[in-house]
Amino acid sequence: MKYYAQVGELEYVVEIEDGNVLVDGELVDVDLSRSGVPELYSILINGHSYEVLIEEQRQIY
Amino acid sequence: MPNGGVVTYLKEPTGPGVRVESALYRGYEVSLFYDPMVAKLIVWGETRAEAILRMRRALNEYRIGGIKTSIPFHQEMMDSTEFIWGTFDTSFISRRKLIAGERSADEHARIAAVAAALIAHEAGRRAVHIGDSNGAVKQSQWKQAGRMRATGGRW
Repeated sequence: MKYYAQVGELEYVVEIEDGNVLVDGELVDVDLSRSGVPELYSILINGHSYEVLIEEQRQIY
Repeated sequence: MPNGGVVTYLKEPTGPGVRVESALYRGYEVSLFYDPMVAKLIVWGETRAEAILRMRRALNEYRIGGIKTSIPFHQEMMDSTEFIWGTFDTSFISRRKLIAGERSADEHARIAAVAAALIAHEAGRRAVHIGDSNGAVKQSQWKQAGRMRATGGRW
């Protein structure tokens, strides 16, 4: 599945297929998990850990 | 830089030597017409090192959603050797000027894009499963009740 994400003025194409994630055609090693606190997630991208607060507002995150 | 907006999530740090002075609550609107300082985080320690450690922990625990805050800036400051050793001067902030912040802006946007795509993907998959189970297993109970009434209790 292909997703077009717009963050501010930047645009990214994120493809998710069979557990693989590609960002603008580049394969990234990613793992997203819930933290236990609603809306708060832990994301590992290419070995780096980040904490993200994600809120949905009519399919806008 | 901090900005205005509505606070959508709030979790304040607590613990020994940690104090928060704030009027924030979930749903609070931070207006552009008043002082941009929305909260004061104060820590105390027997030594400077202890105070810095407490401040680091408190900043790590502090969560404010919906508005941008200067928490990342202060976290970076707590990690700065200049600040830890107390050898900074008045050009400290302008020198650092969040070079890292500028550098990481694109990286953070990319992370946000990936996270949003993953959540949307997961939500889509969940919706498909729910749709499947509703269609295959059971009908709406309202429809069932209506049918029962229309047929006088016969199915």
